[in-house]
Amino acid sequence: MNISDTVFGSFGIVPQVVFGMPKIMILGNNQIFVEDFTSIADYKKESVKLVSGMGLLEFCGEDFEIVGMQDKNIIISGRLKSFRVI
Amino acid sequence: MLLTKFFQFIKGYVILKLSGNNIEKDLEKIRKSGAVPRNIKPVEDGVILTVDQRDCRLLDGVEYSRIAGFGGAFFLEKVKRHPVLLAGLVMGFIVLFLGSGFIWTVEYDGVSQENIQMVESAAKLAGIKVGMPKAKLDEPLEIKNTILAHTDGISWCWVYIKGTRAIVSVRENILPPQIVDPDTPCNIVAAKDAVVTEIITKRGTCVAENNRMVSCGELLISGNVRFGDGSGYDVHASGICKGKTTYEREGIYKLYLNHKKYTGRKRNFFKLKIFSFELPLYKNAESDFKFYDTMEKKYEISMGYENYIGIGLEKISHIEYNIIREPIQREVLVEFAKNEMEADIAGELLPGALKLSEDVACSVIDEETVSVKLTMEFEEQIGAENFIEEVTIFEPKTD
Repeated sequence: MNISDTVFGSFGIVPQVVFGMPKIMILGNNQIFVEDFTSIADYKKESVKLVSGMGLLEFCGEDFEIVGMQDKNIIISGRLKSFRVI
Repeated sequence: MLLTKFFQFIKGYVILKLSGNNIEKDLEKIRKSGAVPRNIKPVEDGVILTVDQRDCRLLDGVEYSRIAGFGGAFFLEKVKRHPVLLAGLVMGFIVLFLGSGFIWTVEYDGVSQENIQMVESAAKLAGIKVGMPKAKLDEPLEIKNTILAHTDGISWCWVYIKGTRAIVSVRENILPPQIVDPDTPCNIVAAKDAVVTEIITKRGTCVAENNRMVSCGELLISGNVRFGDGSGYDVHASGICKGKTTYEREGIYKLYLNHKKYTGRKRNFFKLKIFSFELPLYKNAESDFKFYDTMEKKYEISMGYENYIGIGLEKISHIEYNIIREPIQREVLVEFAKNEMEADIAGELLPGALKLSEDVACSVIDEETVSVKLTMEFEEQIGAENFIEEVTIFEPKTD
């Protein structure tokens, strides 16, 4: 447990809520769940870029497809090769 | 990135809204059609996205609603519905394009007030004048030669063309000091009216006497050297000639000083300058201020650095002030007047002048006015060389 977690915990601060940080879940290399994103900057078969409170989330791979989208949550299917935060 | 956004704007784009239960399938259809969806943002009842306007024809089978359209294509469409506006815009561009091919302003740099008309007429002969097409101007070297050939006292000139502005830059001749040839025969004459106090003759014949009043131009040391037998020749006379000179100055002064106190009120007048025409943007050029300072400022549109297109705005500001009268004591005023008159006298003194005496007299004219008279005496080196026009050599008399 690091110092920031201790500090946040003692003040009752949930960082992902307060600072707008997205929650990213990757199932295998086939499905990506992202909660709390702002918008889709780029949507291509080989790359998807999402704008979030943390910056630009770039997913690179093949055959990307948006399977579900609701409010600020999105589910993307496809073969994920790499992921980075810009 | 900025360039990409700029070109996207020029091409035009639309903002679409997808709603319903099949938003994801619609998004996939849009992508598969070849259109590139951008800025996809989830909203309450769906999703909004941006697509290039020419890609909209690819969106068959997709249920969407168009929210807005932006860009060059939509602007042209709006303008087509207003032909007069379109015609005006086109005419405006043509006039601007054609107008920038002429000289609309000519400025002069480095010219003194007395030579400005001469340089102006020489520049007009060389083709530098308002309304001249830039394409018809001669080569810069030819323009320079024409101006130099038709002017006196100018050692160098060049013309810079900055957009629709021509700047004639000139350098006037600086006259070198006259170098006296020590072998040339000359006399020493009085440079100003004075009473001779001392003459030491080094070469030549002394003519003036001490304590004698001499006037300006009178001979002090002659360059003629004569011998007893009548022979002689002319020499370059030299010596030290000192004389007492008197200067008087008189002035009328007021026993108060006027100060300016700015009230903070300002009135601006604008003039629109289009090529060589001036259009005043005001009805009446008079402000209702009793006392004011005038300040002028010019703003000119340029495409890039110093490429003026001939359209500008001139701002004339009237800044109001009140005159505050502050009384001063007579002694202070006399001191001030004395310093002012002394500075004036100093401009007339010869180098090496020594002050002998000064006297200040003050007489009252009325309650607020006094007359101050300053008299000063100096000892100055009053000798000045005066070349002998016809040099003679005197032969001895042979009888």
